[in-house]
Amino acid sequence: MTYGLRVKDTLGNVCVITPDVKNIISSGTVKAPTVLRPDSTYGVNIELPGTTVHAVADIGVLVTVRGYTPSGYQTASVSGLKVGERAFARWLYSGGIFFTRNGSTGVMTSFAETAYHDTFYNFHPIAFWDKLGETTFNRVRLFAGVVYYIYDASHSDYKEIYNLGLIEFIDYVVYLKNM
Amino acid sequence: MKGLNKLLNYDFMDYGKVIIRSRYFPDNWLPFGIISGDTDLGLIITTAYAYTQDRGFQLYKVGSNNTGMYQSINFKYNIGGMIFDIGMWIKVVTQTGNSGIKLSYKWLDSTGSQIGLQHNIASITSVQNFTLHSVADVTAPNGTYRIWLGVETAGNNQPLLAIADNPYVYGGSEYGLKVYDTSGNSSKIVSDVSSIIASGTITMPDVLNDDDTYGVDIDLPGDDYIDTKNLGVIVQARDFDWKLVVNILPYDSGNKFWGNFFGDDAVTYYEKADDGVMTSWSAGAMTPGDPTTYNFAVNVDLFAEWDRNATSIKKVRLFAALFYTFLKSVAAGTTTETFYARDYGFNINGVSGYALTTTRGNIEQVYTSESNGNIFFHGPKTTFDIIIVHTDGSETTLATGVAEDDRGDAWGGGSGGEGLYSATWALASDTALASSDSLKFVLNVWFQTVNGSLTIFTTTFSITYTTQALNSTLLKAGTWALYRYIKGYSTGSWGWGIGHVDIYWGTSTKEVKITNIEYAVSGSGAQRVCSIGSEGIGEIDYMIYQKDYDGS
Repeated sequence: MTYGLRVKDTLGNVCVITPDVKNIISSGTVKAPTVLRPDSTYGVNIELPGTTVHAVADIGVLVTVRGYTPSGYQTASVSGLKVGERAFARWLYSGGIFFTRNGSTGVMTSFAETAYHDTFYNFHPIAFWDKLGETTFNRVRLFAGVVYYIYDASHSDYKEIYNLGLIEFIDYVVYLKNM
Repeated sequence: MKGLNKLLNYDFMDYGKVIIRSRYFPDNWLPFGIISGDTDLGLIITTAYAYTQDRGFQLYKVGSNNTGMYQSINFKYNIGGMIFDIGMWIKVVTQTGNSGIKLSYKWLDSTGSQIGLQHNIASITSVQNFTLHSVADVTAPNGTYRIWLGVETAGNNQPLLAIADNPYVYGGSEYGLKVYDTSGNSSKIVSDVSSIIASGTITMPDVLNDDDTYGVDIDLPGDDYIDTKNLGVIVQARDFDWKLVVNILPYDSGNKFWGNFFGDDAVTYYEKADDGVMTSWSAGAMTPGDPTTYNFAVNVDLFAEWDRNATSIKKVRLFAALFYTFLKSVAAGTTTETFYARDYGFNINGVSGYALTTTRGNIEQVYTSESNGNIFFHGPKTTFDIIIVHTDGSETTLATGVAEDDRGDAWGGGSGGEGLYSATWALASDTALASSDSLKFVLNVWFQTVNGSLTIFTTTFSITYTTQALNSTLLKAGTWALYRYIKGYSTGSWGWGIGHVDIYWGTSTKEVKITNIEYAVSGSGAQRVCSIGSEGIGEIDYMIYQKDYDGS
């Protein structure tokens, strides 16, 4: 390599600092929102330095959930079975507030569950950098929600549905190169 | 791009020491203007009112006076001729008459005196969503050493509610080490850069730690406590094994199978409390004909985190476990708890205070005060205010100035003393709660000292403690004992030195605590528990990074 800054220790170990080195420009723990933003997207903004935009290739983001409250479901034991047979049905909570998410734009749209119809087969928290369909950025959007994998019986479709507000805190790191 | 943001704490993530009307100012920012009941201003921790991060600075004007917040950046060298971009995002929620928000900046010399006019960036007199108000490429006049940036309320009318966020000052001289490649790409290394101080893969243990918490501790460099704001941790599960029992129901003449998963009574599951203490829990034995012994598994998820409570630490605790939500039956009833003050803080329902938890800690915290005159005259007299705080930040006061302890007779005329003192207060009747309500206890301290000239000095201060949401709908009547650990002492020559009163808490020997608080516990149909180690998450990957790391 013909460029870079070479740092050695007394044992001869070497580290070469090049323009590919990224700076962690923001990190920590933030509170997750309980409401949508005015443009119907969702999440926490993290500012990037400067008043001009940064290319997506120069940005890196790690984000994890610090915990969540399992909620948004209801279950019922199926009756009429023999002794020793316990079976349960499980659905999205009737009256719960759920959203679908447009993967291209990040826009959240209300999802109206149908009582005792929309079966879920697991749910878990998820967090990621929501790029909102953009390729350059002057801020980073952190998304965090609980996702349910469901069968939407009314539309005969398998869907990913989000319940927002069940996650209180998220941990994140934003790093940047070409500063 | 003009380098990094020159403002300190521009994201408002660090609390300051200025508190006005129960709201914290962000660190490195100060108030100006007329401080009165006319403007409620300070941090508001809600993403609904934040442009970036999870908080903004609220200016709520309810009278004729105006006030604001500013930061003065001291470059400590002449920045004359240098070019800057200055701005701030502002949202106006409510606006009345001629009320408004003013954003401005000033150039200051090395003594802090203003150079030329104050420069107005924006005067906003209408409701708006978050909007950037800024100036670009403004040149500092010769002799400028500091830049002052302020946001304030304006006008005579009210009410006005506005939020300021994401301020910036870019420009001036750049610092750091810039490394280029042959294509002209570059990276700048600055002092804020974080170092990865530990990383790798760890096997998670199968047993709890001695204090019934769980996880692996990673030593941080050096012997000093490190502020958690300088640390970051990312931890992820890399190997897991779930433990459930399936119950298969054949149907369609045995050609199809309906599977349901239940808790395994042969596995030790654990409940994890907010303070990290794990309590074992066993699933039912799936006895045919007895539905209460079947714990249906609603969901399963992997969970790994930096398990932290303190604000400064020597070790990082890595936690990882496989979590399950089981259906179960829990009878409604009451629980009687002792709440112990801890060394770290909570921000609950808009109240910032030291944490009160149902488990005792082992890290000492102290609040110190000083007074002229080192002969104790009256007091210290300590009392508590007891308040229910609701989710919208409003409060219901249960009592003020109660559970008094007065050291006056014992300490008067002397140089102090030290001990754990208690007094009681009785909640006369059952009190309804919302499940999101929390309890706030304010410890009020009052004492008088006298000096050799017989001049009397009065000192007062308060310390706020808060529980998390109690998740209860009823606070039961009862008599509570409120403990406080007080140390009074003098330094300097008799009559001419300094009097000290310190409040300690956080350990079993020096604590602030409230005992015998009884409240209702709701019945529950679900329980979240986890399995650990080889029966949960067996291995994790992690990375710990630290800034302000000097390599020691």
